[in-house]
Amino acid sequence: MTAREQTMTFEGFRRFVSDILGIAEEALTPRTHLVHDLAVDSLKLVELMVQLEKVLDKKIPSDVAWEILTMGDIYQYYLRHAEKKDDR
Amino acid sequence: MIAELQVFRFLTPIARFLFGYRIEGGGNLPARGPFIILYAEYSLLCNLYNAFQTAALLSKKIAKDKVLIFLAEELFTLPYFHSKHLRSFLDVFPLLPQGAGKYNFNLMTALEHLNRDGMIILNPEGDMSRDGRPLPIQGGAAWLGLHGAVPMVPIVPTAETYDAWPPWQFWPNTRGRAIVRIGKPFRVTEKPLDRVRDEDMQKAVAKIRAEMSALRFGPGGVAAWTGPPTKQGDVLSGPLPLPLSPDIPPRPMLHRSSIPAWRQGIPLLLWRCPICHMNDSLSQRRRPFKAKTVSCSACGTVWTVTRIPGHDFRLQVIKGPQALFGLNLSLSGWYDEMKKDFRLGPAIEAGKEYLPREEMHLQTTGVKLLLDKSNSLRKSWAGREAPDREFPARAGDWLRLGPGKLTLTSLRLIWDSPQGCLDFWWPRVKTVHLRSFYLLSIGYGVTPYRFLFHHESGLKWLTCAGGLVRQNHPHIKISPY
Repeated sequence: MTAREQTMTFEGFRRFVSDILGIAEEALTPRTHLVHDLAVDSLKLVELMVQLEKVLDKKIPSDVAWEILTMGDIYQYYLRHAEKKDDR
Repeated sequence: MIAELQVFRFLTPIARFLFGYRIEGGGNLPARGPFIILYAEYSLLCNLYNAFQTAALLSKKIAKDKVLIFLAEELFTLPYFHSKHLRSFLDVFPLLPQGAGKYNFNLMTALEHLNRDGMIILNPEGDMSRDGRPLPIQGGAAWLGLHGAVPMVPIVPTAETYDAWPPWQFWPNTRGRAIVRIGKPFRVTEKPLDRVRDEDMQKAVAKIRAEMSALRFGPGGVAAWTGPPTKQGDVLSGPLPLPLSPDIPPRPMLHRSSIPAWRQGIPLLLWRCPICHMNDSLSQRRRPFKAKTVSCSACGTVWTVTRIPGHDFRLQVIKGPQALFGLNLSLSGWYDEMKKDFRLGPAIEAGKEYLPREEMHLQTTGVKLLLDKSNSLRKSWAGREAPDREFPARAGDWLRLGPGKLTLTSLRLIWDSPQGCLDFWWPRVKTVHLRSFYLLSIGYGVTPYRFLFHHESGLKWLTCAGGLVRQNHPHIKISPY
């Protein structure tokens, strides 16, 4: 099992997001909203969601992607679906 | 053929008669997906042609559910999309809004569609060019091409299409040939990329730019289309001696033209004089059996306007400063001269006080505010600040308010009408975008708003907002101008 296949801690998840968005890890707290607070480029957000789909092996509907734009919400979404993936 | 598409059977021969409409390179179109069709918009005729091509595609062997069309989100506000009768016609086209915010996630739907051997039709520039020159390629098409590694097929109307119906002109010119070229399919990567990085995007964008420009302009590129500046027939190589009269005091930017914007013609693009840099001083005149003229009420310069099919329009000075007599530049060349040295200066509105350190720059009346029907302002208009955390429930469901007075200051945009007053503070503005010359869109937080101009060019507003953004708010994404 690779590190990525184990459920990531928030710190690990933050590294994963930081790498995709090109934003310093320190700027990514659970309450950080990627659009309101960091004005993240919209194409980078799409790339983040696609990479998250790959990690979870699950399609994320575009409506849902738009609703989970704080770091905390994205991480909760990840945890919920990573656990389901483990159950599978 | 889908019954609603029969209308194009009637429209196509009309376009063939008026503009010599035909398609070159039809054999380049793959027989089945996945592939991406890249189209361009730099003429009002392009919109019609794009509909022809889509209809032709849908009416042939390709199943409707295999095609997805991206259409600029602002276009969903057009009344066309809200007519009951046209709506049934429109439902034939599987449309997805292309734009900022939530609409960007439609790229995920598009990628899935490509993975199921579907076809995507989109404008990689994301907008209509106003002076005929190509706009920067946005990232969406490149991103799809890199993740999907699918063929991309450019379908580009030839350069004549621009001068047949330029975006600043209300009616088309009926002479000329405007044909459509379908280019050879190309890819931006041979294998799908697992992860798209900035450097991949840059290369893919450059490739798309090169393929589309070559198809439209040929080997000479944009430079051959615009042509060099000349004077009395001689090609000029050095810098132009413009502006000529920088000492004329600038006209306060509170002007309101008596001519509706749609009838102004070239002054929609040249909203200030490229020679004396006076704002709102140009007007266009049509003369029976003679070339059109454009004249400046401030410095007295007069130009003749010449249309050269397949090239940019040429404007030649026929009256004005002696040193410039006979100076002949492409319209896009004059547009560049107009923008040169543009600085946003303060304007003064009598009897009106703003906040400390707030400068007023620009103001006009007769502006309608468009907001989404799900916007909470519909229920309660509490406070002056516009809501910034609401995204439309569906594209194009807009309500028009006003008209009102729109003011651009160093701190905010203010829309003032009998219905109420709204502030849009620059630090919370995320995007400023102009669709055609009349519709200025702003993304306030994640909430979109539109301002519809009646009396003047939205390009003036975009340019002024651009000056402000460059100085103080680099986080704002703004349309090229």
